[in-house]
Amino acid sequence: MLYYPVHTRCKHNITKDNGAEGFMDQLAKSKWLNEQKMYSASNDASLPIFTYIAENLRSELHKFSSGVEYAQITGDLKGLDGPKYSAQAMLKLIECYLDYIDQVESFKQTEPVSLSALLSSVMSSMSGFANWQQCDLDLQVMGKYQPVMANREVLKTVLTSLSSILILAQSEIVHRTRPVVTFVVRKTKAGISAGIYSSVNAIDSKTLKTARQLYGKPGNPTSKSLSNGSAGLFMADSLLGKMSNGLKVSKFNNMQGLSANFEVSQQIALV
Amino acid sequence: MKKILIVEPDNELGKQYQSLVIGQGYQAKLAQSSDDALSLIDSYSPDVVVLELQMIEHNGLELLYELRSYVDWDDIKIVLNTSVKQSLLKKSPVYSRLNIAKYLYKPDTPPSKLLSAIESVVSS
Repeated sequence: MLYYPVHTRCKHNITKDNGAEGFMDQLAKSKWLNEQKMYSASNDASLPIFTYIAENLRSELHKFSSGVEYAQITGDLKGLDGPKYSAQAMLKLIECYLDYIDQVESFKQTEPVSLSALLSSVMSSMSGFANWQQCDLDLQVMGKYQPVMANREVLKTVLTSLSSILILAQSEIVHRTRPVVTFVVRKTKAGISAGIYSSVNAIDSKTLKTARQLYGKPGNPTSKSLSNGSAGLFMADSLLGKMSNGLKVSKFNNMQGLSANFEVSQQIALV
Repeated sequence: MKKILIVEPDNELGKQYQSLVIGQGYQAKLAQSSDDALSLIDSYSPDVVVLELQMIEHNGLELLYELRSYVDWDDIKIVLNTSVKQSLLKKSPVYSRLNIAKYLYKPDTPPSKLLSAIESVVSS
């Protein structure tokens, strides 16, 4: 989408003839933007995603070092919360990547997993980060459900990564009331759905589509900042595709978010 | 007292920068998007804008182009604090026309270096 100045004091007369559109075309074609696409030009399939992760890690490490220096300059120990969460975010990203590259082995080891208990555990682990990002967490379990067969550790990594992304995405949107990120387990036609939803519109279908298209390219579709990363969204999407019907944008109680539907294990059902 | 506008989409970094700039004796406001930045430039009239280029909806180059379109804002000094490498920016045909006072490569720029850069631009 081209962006033309609309301010009444603009000294340029905004018409095609005056070159405003020409500038934007030049910008779009300029190497600066095309640079972002060149990382995908690789014969090594693992290189693009690793480049994506490297961009994410670079951003988090910069925040980490800035946070430490900020705490040193100001003497405010609360300033060290930022580096702590940056380090945790980097660790989650690396965990997600390790699971991503080890998918074949991971998915051989499945067990009955209670989605309600798992989401509750994830919510508990994210409460500090959410509070620091000035949002609240909530859990809604819409009934008693049977366990699903999944690799518990991989699923926990994925759900943690998704909740981290959603919490971070809403933090970059200006909102009047304190937002709430809600973890939901409910029954749908496709099975048991585990989802994470936000009271502010941080994720939509276009965002998820962009995330999938961004494979191999640096960029963060969930945040207004391209410098922050969500390689985790791509990897979570890929991993959930193996465990469930795949990640999708969905709605719950006027909230929008991300969810995946899991089929109840037939073995468990027979037992 | 000089007025600084920090345009930084990352909430955490933006608040840190704002706090440190205020601690140096300046006034400082924070914008997290190009639209917010334009509104604040209009109402706040900053002397210096510290700008990250990588913003999704309207990136920083688009913001700069608009800013440099207005005669009233010709005197606003721009400090780029961005993850986009300068070698790439220089390949853009419009970069030289944007009158950037200082370029900083964000991964190599700790807060102290940013503060020094703002100080040098303000006093120049």
